[in-house]
Amino acid sequence: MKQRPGAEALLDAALATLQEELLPTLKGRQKFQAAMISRAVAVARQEMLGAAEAADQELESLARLYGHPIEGDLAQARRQLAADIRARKFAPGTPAETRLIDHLVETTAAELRIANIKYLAGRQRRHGAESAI
Amino acid sequence: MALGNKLAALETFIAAQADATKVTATLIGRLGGGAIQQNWALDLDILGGPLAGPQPVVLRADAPSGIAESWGKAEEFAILRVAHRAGVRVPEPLWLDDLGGVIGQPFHISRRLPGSADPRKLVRAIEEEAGDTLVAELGGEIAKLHAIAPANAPEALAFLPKPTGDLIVSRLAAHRAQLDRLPEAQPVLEWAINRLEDEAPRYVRAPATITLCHRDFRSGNYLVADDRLTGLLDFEFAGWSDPYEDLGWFCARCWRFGMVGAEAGGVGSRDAFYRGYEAAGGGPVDDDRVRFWEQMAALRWAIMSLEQAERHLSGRERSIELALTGLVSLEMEYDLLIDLRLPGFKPVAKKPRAEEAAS
Repeated sequence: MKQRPGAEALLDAALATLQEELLPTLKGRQKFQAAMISRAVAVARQEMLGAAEAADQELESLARLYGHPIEGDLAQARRQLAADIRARKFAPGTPAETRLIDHLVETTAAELRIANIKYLAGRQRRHGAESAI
Repeated sequence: MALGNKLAALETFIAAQADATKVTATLIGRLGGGAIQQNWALDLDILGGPLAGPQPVVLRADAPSGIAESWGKAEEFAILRVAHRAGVRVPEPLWLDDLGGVIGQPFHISRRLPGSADPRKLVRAIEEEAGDTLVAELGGEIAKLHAIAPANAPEALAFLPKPTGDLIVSRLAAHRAQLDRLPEAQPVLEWAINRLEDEAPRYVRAPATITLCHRDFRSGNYLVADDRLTGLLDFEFAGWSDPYEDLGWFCARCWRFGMVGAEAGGVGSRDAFYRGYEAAGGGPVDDDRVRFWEQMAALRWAIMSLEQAERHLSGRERSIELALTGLVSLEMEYDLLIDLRLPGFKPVAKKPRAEEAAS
């Protein structure tokens, strides 16, 4: 049995105290600041839980896009992708561009799922799931 | 910056500027909306001189680290004066300290207008009809600013650089350069820049008629009292541009504060906004061109929000507000991926306003 609270349990406890006890007692700029802290902690919590998986998926998606495994880390792979886009290696209207857009939509949605799932859900309600556009 | 212990120096400065025998300044508090600027409300009591009597004012100073694109206090003061003399509803600019000797950093002081600039409260509280009236007023005010062209501009605006060549081409080139200065690559924004470059000729069919533009004209940057416009604020980004940049920025989805059905600023209808603009002499509005600049707006705000986060991440200015702003870019990236592929950049499904409010 786990004796000590893990990172998630600690963040949950911190968020609950902040949102349920502290925030309702604050006003003006302090309330605004506490709301920002609450949001920062909530996003950090999601990031902690989901970032590693999202990064793995992005690398897999990049491997599919390029048709070969990706060497090096994600930041480097993104730099290469950004350079290839700027160099117009994915010509408009081609299957390569369609695959690129699928990749970008998928990875951006995964990041939004961590940073702001409400926003993602709002857009998807209006336009269908990202793959269906 | 703590203004409280600089009040004596400030009183002396204002008394000299206002030809007054004595000035008493009471600090009311810091006003919101200060990621780049710091604004303080002050109540002045002026003895003697042309402005004798009680004067509610706002002191505006730079935040510790500005962003490259924004003007300093002297330039903003000059722009505000030109706008005020042209009859645009803005806070009347009163005094400027360009050197920073009085309170430790440059500032200007303008008359404090009544009303609130809080965009989130506004878009949720205002009724449909009042919203249309307000956006028509806003269209009219920005049309007055757009009547100022390089050819008829006063000498005071000589510092504003004049655009050369194709405005959109140079804007997109500048955005690529901004991305190059950020520490992490941005594939979605690179794609969006390409797409905007390719689509531009379809939406922007004539060269821009360059006018004075606000360049941050959106809900949150104007004051509203009793559902009516009292003044436009925040001229720190103003410059010569295509007036459609202002119209597109105002209508951009990212500046509707969740009320996406109210396409003009989250407040009113696109039609009412266009009609107000046209009625004030702004000329017939080309809807395609506005919509193109709405996409340019999403791109520009995405990049600006990354730059704001970088101010925090680089350690130049630690701020949780700046850090959180960096997360916002993901919203625009997702929007650009969807909206740049819609025919005419127009959403297909329309939902009634009430449903938008609930979501």
